[in-house]
Amino acid sequence: MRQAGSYSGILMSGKTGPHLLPLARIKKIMKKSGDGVKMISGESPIVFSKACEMFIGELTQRSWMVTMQGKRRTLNKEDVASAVMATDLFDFLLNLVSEDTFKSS
Amino acid sequence: MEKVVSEAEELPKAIVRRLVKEKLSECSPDYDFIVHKDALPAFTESARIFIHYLSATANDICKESRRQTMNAEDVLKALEEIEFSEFVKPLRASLAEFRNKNAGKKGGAANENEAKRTRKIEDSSAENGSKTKQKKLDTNKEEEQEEEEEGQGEEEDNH
Repeated sequence: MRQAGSYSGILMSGKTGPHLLPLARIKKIMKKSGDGVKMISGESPIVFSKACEMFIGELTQRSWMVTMQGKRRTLNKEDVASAVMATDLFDFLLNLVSEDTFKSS
Repeated sequence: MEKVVSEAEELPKAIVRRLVKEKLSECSPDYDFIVHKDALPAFTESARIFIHYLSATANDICKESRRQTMNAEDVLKALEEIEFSEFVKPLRASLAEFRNKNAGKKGGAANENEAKRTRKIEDSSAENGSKTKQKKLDTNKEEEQEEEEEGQGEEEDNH
């Protein structure tokens, strides 16, 4: 797991004000979305940053509900996988669930 | 076992972890939940895929309007399209706040955070007052833009 990125993320987030996620990193990810995402207005990454925060919050909440149902206090990746599978909204993540990221090692 | 995605950029783990923990405190103020370290990549990767998904959708919307530059409105429409409509309202509010802050900066509006960083800009913006005047104060504007490079102004030309 690359750790080096975290530092620059933290440093940058200090400068970028109310949004936490580093805008430059978000832009890079966006540009790798394929099929010609080229020009992005100054405001778009900010909307993305906030949307990402909200998305992570939503995923966290649903995963937490699974943890609760299991009467546990440690949220693990299987809980996240279950949340994804149980939520229509997260259908776009189903491919990811079948990959190593979510599988028990 | 590590999943090393050498090509893909990732969101910083520390920030993702913080977001997850903050949400957990919200969900469960009474007792502490622990995030297993193996769960973090699940969140980070999911967020990355979310960005891809949202980008691709917003990009399609942008292309349909025959524009080159993706803007905030494209992103908001894309959220509706991928059924994340409940995000739209709070995002609009955030965006409005952000725009006000930026407009306020140029008008010299009282704002603690901005005052710290933009003291020299306030000096020139006292004369400025509105966006349309920025052409007259080119050099000052350039300085502003250099400071704001991190996406707080309009970097790509879409006017």
